[in-house]
Amino acid sequence: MITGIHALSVKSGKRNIQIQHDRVSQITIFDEPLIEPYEHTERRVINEVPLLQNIPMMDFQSKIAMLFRGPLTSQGIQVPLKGVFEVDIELQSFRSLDELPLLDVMKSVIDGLNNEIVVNDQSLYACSIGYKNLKTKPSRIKPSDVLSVALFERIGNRRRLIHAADDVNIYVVPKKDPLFLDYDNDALWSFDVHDQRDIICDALRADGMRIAGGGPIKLTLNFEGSIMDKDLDNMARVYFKLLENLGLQSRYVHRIDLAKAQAGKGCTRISLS
Amino acid sequence: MAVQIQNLSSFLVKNSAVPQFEITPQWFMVQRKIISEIYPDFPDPDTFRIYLYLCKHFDHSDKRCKRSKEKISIDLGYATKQPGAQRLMNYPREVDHALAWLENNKFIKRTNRNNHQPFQCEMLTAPDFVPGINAFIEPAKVNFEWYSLKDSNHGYIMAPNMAFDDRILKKSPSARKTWTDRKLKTLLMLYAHTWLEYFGGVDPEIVTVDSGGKLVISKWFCCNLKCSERQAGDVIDWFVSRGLLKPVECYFVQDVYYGDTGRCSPPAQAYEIKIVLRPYYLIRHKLESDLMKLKKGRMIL
Repeated sequence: MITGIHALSVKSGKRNIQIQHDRVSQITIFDEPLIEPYEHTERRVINEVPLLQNIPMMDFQSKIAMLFRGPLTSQGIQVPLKGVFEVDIELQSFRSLDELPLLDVMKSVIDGLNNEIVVNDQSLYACSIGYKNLKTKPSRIKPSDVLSVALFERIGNRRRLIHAADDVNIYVVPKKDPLFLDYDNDALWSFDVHDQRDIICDALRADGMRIAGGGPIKLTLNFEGSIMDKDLDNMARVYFKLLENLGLQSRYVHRIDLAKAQAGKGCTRISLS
Repeated sequence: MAVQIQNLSSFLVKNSAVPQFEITPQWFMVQRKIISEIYPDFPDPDTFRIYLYLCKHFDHSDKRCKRSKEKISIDLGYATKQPGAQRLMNYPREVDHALAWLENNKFIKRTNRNNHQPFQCEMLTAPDFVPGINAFIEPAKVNFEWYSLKDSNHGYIMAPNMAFDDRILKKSPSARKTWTDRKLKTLLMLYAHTWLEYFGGVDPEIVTVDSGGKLVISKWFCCNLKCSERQAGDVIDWFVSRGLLKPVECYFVQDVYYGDTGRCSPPAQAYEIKIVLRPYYLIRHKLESDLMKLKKGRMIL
């Protein structure tokens, strides 16, 4: 849909952030991309609150690692790998997106590859995930999910497949928050990033930006700036929340494409289609 | 198809002067990886049980499992020594086969220097399974050692030795009939999800009992066990009836265990009451951790 471009300027701290949007589906924020802090490690360090990661999620991530480590090791390739990478994920499931929010599934898969298969997930420059609803359940005792994950190395403008784990019947566990043992101290921890995100969100809403309900929606997020050491998925989390505050519903998002690129000037481009 | 625990109230743990649980110091480590929807089961019941036996008798300090074939065969009921005999005349075929399979597939490494020395082995980090070539592959450089496994996200189960007594791993038809593979796997998986400081027993998200006595079991858990909810439920019900798992009514604050309703007053914060399954055999050092200091006094043990 072609609509007029609206420009606005938002004051965040001492800076003015320029934003363009079309009130419907396109937003461009001319600023260094924000990144979700490593909440859990920060909390752990700051408050020294013991925590327990969700065990099914950890288990799912260790299975993802195995699906790659095994084949690569058998070919004599040593892991973890160094380089610049891209990941494509396809999820088919009998379960609905209510149970499988795609960004959280993506994060869980990436976390599974991190450290074990690729040295650092900051070296992941593009990642996509798509969802297809299965009308019939594979079997009574088998998982409802069929997952395919492909890992590519980026060489110049091209990409080379390193390994693909195709059509794996595995019970997918999206990213979950850990449990904190000390429920008195940690419950409400506010981060600066969230305040900045909310300032941008409020300004967009005041200027008429609304995301209509319904779907399926394909979400594209492109990050530019000093992003070498910023995780793709942790940047995406900030802007996904921003979009949710503008009306986006995770259950309608059937596809997400994320990419980051080094650039002199920071910019985040959001597009819904 | 949910399974109903008959007479739930008679099984619910009540505050008592008599110990309700057995607290034991010895535990052993089994990798979580071996029980999963994407990992094959051991080829036969012998190999599975002999593997568990080796895990249990592995000495982490010198990285050896010094159990000879003779000892394994006798402990697990594959053979008996004739009166007056110095040693076994022949090793049972199943034991030979199982050990060879475990060695060939890199679950263990033989450490006796030659065949004249008694069998001994080192436990290795469980191999990765590669479906494409239908083979096990040894993961590079992860020691079968707690910190190393944890660092590289190879989860492990801490299982009390007493819960996996040699008797239940025996070859005898009655032991095999009572202690099926599924029961052993389910019990291991329940210990994988037992976090006393967070849940007071098995994570209620994995399995809990509703107020009407119905077992609520996570689908994820059943998938890992490669069985239906009904099959997992029957096994858990059996554990409850045998007192190996005891339902306890507990207070939870923000999804974290606070204390047993029969042992402490309700917490000051907003709380929920959940029925948690607490294994009968508990590992002592888990109860003596710093994290447990506050909660131990609120727990019926």
